[in-house]
Amino acid sequence: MIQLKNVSKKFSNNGQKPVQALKETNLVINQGEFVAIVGPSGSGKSSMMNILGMLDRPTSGEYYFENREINTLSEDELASIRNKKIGFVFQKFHLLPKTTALENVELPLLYSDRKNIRGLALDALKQVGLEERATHRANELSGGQQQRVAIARALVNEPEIIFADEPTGNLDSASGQEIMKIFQELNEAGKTIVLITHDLTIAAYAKRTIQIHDGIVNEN
Amino acid sequence: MTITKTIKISFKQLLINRGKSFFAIIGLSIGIASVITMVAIGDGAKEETLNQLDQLGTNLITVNAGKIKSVMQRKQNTDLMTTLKLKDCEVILNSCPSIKEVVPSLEGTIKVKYGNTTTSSMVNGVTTSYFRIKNFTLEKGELFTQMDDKQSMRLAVLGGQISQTLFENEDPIGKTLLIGKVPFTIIGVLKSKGTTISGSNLDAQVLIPLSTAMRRIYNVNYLNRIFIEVTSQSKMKDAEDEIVSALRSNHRLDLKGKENDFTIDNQLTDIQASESSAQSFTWLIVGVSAIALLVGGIGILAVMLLSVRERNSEIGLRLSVGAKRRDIVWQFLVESSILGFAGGLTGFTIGFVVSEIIKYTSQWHISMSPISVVISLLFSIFIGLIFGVIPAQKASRADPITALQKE
Repeated sequence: MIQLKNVSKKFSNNGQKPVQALKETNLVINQGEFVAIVGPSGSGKSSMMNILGMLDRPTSGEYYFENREINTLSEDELASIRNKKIGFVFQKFHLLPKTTALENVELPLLYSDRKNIRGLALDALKQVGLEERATHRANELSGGQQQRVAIARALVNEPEIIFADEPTGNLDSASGQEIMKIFQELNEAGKTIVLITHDLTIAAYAKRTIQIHDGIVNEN
Repeated sequence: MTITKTIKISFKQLLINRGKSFFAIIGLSIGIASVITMVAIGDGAKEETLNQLDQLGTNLITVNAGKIKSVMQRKQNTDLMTTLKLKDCEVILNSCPSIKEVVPSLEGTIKVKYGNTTTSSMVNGVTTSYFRIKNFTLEKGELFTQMDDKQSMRLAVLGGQISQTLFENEDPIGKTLLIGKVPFTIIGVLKSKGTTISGSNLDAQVLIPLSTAMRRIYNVNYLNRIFIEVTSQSKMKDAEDEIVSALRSNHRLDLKGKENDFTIDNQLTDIQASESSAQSFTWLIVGVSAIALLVGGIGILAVMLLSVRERNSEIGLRLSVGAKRRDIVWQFLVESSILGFAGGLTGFTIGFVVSEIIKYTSQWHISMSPISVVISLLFSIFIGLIFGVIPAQKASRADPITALQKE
């Protein structure tokens, strides 16, 4: 499903020495996998997620998503893949404040041509057990509930793969465990899940762990 | 993304940020309100001026005996000339092809008396066509005829105001009025026309047959003025030239090498003068409006730029869940257009209310044309759109990664 071939990412900042965030990375992720990418802060794991999630492009190397090389695709085509095939879950939830849970979940559907937006969003909220909070505003929900809304938003367009960047980072451990259980269930239902974390106990929920350090990938 | 979805999203976001939206709307609406009010006042003034000119009679040229000078915007004879005669009317009528009708007039200010009330009034001797070419209509009674004029009948028709002064609630028809020491029977009262733009009050005059005025009141054989009706507005200039040449030849001015002993007052010139002053006023309105709208537009620009800055993480999120850059551009353009439209609508409402207040608290004539309302509404959407371009582009250029990190 995903294949990186010699992918590197360099950042150059206003004449300062360029930073090599990823070095000659090779990686394959298959459909249905639950992969944790683990590394300390500054190891390059966020750059990895941005490239995998098509929010950024590699400086060199090739990235194949479902056998299509993404460097050959236009920005609009990437946006369309992000909309239909990818779901994101962020550490800071990134919900629209003063907007209801349901409307937050509807957001990706607004940019697709799917019908019955409200119904699909309600189904997604049901999947994370929050249908009763549908009309609550995002800022009225607890951290764990907000992250569940974010997961529902990632699921609503029935994507092939979900990228979760430190999804438990802003949660207490009980809520964190709940969230990880949801990811496990989703994976058991067939979703491919890529988890980015620095926390090995969280990474333990995944079936496969990839270590990243100074931009170099090591598979255990 | 469809336009309906975009409008829905934009509305929602404007409601969420209602505080900022309010200030953007208020800024523009004050501009639009002042434009609407000024245009209504300007159009009203223009209409009123043209109405007044229309009341003076259409296609009218006045020949005044001697020179005319404008003193405090009122036209006054500066010297007495006795060269304008009834014979001149005949000559003009016979030798000028662009002329339809000629009305000789002799006027003066003289004491008039009814019962115990005495007042000084303009008493004007005219022929019966005067009423038609000066657009007078009867309030009650009747007008004197050509036959009455021929027979120098002592009949009088009163202006609305003088009738009110002398008779108050009494019916003047059939009553006897003393003009100087001569008794006249009142046969008609005219509808009021108000003061003309040149300052003369047409409602304060007493009108009597010309021959009666010449023989029985003033005892002279000359005229003060001749009112001339021209066949059509396009012939006004031709008519003026024809009249000048006819009068100069009849008065033998060319032979003596003298200046004109008469002054021509061409109504077309008056209309053009007032149209040109109305035009200057229109330009003034356009100028002030442009500044007002520019300020309103800059208000929208500032609010939208602030909004883009504050909503960076929202933009990043939208891009990450699949919004295309043009979706973001459209969202912000639609938002600023909605602000523009709302500003226009609020401005129209305020402008309308203010115009109505002015209308009822002052004597001003106010005229609000639907076209100016539609134009200002469309223009306010346009302003929203134009001043939304920079913020929208800025928003669409956001890098989703940095935008998401900013929160």
